[in-house]
Amino acid sequence: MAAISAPLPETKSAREQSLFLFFWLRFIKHRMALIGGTVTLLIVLLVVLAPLVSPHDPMTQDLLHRFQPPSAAHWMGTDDLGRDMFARVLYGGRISLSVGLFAMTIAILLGSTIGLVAGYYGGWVDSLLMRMTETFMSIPRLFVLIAMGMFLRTLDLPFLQAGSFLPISIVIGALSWMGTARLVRASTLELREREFVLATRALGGSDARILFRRIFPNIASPIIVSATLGLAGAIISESGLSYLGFGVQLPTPTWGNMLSNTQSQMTTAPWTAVFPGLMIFIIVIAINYLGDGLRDALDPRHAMKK
Amino acid sequence: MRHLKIALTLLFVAAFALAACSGPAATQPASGATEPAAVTEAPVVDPNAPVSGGTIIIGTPQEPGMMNTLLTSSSIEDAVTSLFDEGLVSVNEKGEYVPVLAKELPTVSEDGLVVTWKLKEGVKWSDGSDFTCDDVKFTMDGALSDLSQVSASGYRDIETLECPDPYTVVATFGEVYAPYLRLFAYTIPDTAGPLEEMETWDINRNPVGTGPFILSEWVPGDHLTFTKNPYYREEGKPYLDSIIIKILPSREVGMQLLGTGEIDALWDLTEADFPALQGMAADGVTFVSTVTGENELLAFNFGNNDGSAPADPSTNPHPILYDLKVREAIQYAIDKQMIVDTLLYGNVKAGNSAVPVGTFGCPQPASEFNLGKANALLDEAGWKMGADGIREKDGMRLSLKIATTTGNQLREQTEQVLAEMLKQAGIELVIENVPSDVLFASWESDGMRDHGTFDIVMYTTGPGTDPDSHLYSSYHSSQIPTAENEGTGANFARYINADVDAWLDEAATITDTAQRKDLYCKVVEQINKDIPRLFLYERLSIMGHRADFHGLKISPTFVDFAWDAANWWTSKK
Repeated sequence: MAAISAPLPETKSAREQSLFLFFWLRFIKHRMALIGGTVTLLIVLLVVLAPLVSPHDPMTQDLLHRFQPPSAAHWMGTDDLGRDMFARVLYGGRISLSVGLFAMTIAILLGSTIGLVAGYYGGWVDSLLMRMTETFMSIPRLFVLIAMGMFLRTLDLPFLQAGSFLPISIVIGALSWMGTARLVRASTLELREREFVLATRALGGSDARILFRRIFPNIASPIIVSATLGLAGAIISESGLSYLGFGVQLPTPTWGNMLSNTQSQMTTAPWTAVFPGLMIFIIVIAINYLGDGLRDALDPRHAMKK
Repeated sequence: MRHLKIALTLLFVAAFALAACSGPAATQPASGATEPAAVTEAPVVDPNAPVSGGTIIIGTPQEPGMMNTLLTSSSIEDAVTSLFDEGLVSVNEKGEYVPVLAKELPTVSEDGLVVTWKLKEGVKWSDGSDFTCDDVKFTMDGALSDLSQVSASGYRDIETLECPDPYTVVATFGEVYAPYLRLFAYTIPDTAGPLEEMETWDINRNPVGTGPFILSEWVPGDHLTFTKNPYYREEGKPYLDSIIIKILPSREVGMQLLGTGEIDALWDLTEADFPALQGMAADGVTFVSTVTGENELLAFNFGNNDGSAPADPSTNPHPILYDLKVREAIQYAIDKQMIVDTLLYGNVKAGNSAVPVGTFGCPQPASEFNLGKANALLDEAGWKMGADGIREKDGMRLSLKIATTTGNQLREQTEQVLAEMLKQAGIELVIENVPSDVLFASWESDGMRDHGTFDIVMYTTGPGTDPDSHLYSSYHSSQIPTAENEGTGANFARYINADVDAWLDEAATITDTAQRKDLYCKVVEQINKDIPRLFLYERLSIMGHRADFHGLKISPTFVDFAWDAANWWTSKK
């Protein structure tokens, strides 16, 4: 244990190589995590290779064949405008996963930076940043979402226009970093008093070096867990935001907007709701297991308890 | 934690299994779903012989809060109050005026300034007192009072209202009020109380009316029970003993209850509910629907969409839509019948007229769907086909934004189909929907429609029973919302046509129905030539009901289902 939480020697290669192998071996022992990882990888592959995998175009309408149940020609049936559901689920996954990934990246970058700085420097910096975090947490989310959505739209930047997933990712990311920030701050508070950090400081290590070489690697596991949870949350948030009118606009499919409005079709054409819902469900579960496995593999204390 | 994960995994497996079996079992409404909108009643013993007795339960997801028609504000209140409240004149299911408490439709003097109503004699209020001209006068005073929520339009123009005898009402107007027929669509007893105490009148919760039913029990949040009015003027009517208005949590719950027969009718369905309604035919469910005169339409912006809101769009025209050829091309490129047959299951008519039905109805020939003409017009207008299949002119792409309210599935479907149709003519339609309170916001709140910050907006509107105010506010050049007039009017297209202005001005000064209709028809025809608005399809008012509930007829323009409740009957055993 000491070997892992203590500072790593600056000499490279062999030692780090074996460390990675060590993590990997621990990770593959966690069976559900392995399955989760495989499923995630599979879905990502399917979605990325959508044009090769899908036999149909996701936009082509066929009004005379609306609400077709799943068949050999349309594996997931057709939707309310006769479009192939399988193609739309694949292409929709591109947007949904991108939104999830972008929003999560933004949230983690913001959250960890604020948490690290607040926890490490303490004092008025900490007070200021944490009050800011609490302020963000107390503002009604919906209200801010609407305001930010309208603001981003009025900016009229070409890459923020309707159909792009960037505005929605920015909005979701900018509103979901608070949990990570608190988590990171708490871990940093604890770590900054530890011997290896004090030792680095005594040796004249700069703040940046301490923060990013010493503290950050040691709080990676809570960050990874909150990232996997955040990814799932962002995919779900996207559906709600599309409803408010500044998400990804139709006819571009996303799992969220495919799912919205299907309530009235649940009895007559359940497949229009079931498949996008199922995809969200599978990816969220898979990523959660993946996160679990990563945490177990990376967190030495967790392994000790077992 | 571990148990939770296992449980979730099992759930996921179960969901997959469910999805797999739901496929083949589900039935398909798309083909053959072209049942006509009119109702065919299931024959019982003798379908034309109503029987007395029985109770009908009508479900509604909205709860009425007020029984005083001067203070009502929602359409469910307007509908429910019709069970006990009657007007001098009403509108039947064809959208025509019919006398109710008046013996006949009011007569008007040569100069159009004096209108006379002859009242039926022997009509009693549900408290036993006589209905006379004094009650009509009181109703007018009520409508004009500061506390009233109803429109004072028309009543304001009455200089004197006289009662030469208890059953004659003579109104003298200061200037001609063309839509005089719509006055006194409701009545208030003069025993209600002082006008300044209107908000605390007893009749607000315990209504007194001349209609077939009276309110006998009101359990807020649950139901309202109406029973026979003992003083109702027609012998043997109403047929029903009682009507229960049941408050439901949602429309979806209502559909379930309708299927099981726990309610007899469900108020306010939409065109999207047709497949579900037709799917329940075997359970004894049918429906009534009526045209409302309203159209789902596209309004084109003639002015620039930069927020300048020009009073005259020619000073700052829309770079694409100001050109009539482009608007004509869009109309030619849209296959309205296809939309009607598929998205609306063939149950409505394609929209072609600003005033499609009613006394002033002016139906127009269907617009032509012709892709060749659409492309030819765009070529003529200088829009050349670009490399990506979208036309271009002087470096500008033929790309337009369409906005409607979010969360409305039918509208979203329509937009996507329109985008596909217009693409065939090289026009790109980009969907950018917003919540309804953004789209329909007032001038002060930066409403998109008012400020003209749109290319195309899609929404529903219609002329009501009398098209006077609708046509004027939608197409008269004085009704273009600008900073100067603080956003007055509904001429969102910024449409200006001197002839239309003149016809509308003239129609407002005459009372002769035939002459007015003639003028409104000229307006309707001119609109179809200039295309400030493109009508997609006519909207319906729809109620699902059990087949053993007879006589339900929805009156258009008021979304009012209870106007003929005296003739309702049930063959339920």
